[in-house]
Amino acid sequence: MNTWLLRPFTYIAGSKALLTGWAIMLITSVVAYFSKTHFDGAIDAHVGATVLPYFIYLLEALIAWGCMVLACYAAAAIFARTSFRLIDIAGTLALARAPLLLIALINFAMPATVDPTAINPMVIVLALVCLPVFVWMLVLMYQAFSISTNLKGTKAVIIFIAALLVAEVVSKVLMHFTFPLMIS
Amino acid sequence: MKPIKKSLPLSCPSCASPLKVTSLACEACDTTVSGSFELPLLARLSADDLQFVIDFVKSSGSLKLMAQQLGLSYPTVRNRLDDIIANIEKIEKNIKTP
Repeated sequence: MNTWLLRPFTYIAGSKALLTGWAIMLITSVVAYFSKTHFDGAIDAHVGATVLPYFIYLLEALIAWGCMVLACYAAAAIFARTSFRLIDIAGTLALARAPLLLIALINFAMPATVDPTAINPMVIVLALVCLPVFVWMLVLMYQAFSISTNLKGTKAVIIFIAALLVAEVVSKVLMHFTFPLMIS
Repeated sequence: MKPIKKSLPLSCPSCASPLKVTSLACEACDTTVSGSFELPLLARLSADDLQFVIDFVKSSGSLKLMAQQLGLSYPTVRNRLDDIIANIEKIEKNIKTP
C-alpha cells in the first residue's frame, strides 16, 4: 500500500503512466476551472477571484508539467550515469501531478483571498489540509525523477531540487509573457 | 523439519576477503578434489542478483518482457540491471587488484 502511494513508479511508468497522468491532468484542469484554482507554476496552487477561459487552466497544467519534464531531462542528461528514456520521465512526472486533483477539489471550499489581513481560520485550516497533499506530490515527483534516471541519494535530491527551481522559474516566466497575449 | 536453504558464502567472515573454492566432492562416489579454484564471476553475485540474471537470459534479454513478467515498471527493472552491471564491474576490479 505504501509502495503504491509513495513509489507507484516501481509498478507503472512509460506510456501507461503518461496516458493516465494526462487523463488526470485533464480532469484536474476542469475541476480547477470550476474551483478557480490556478496551478500557475511547477509547484504552485492559488485560488483566483478572476474568471479566466478554460484553456488557461489546461495550459497552466501543460506548461508546469512540460517545464518539469525538460528540466529533469536536462539534469539527467548531465548527471545520470546510466541510460534513461524521455517517455519514463514524462510519464512518471505526469502521474506525479495527480495529487493536484485533491487540491483543486479542496479549493471549492477555499475563498479567494487577495488581502492578507482578510485571512480567516477557514483559509488557514484548508491551507493546512493542502500542505500534506503538496508534500505527497513532491515525494512522487522526486520518486519519478529518481526511478526514471536511476539517480539516488543526496546527489539525486540536490539535482532534483535544482531542476524543480529551474522548472518553477521557467514556467512562471512563460505564463507571465504568453497568457496576457492569449487572453487579450 | 524444514530443509535449510544454504547460500554460498562469498566473502571471508573474518576479514571480508573474497573466498576461493578449495574442495569439491562427488556425492555419488565420495571422490574429493582439492585445490584452489576461483569462483566464476556470476557465482560471486548475491542469490537475488543471480536469479535476476537467469531471468534476464531466459527472457532473451528483453527488459520489457521481464517487467511484464515481474509486474514491475520498465525503469525499475532496467535500474536493477544497471545496479548489477555496476556490481559486476566492482567485482572485476576487485579481482584485478586484490
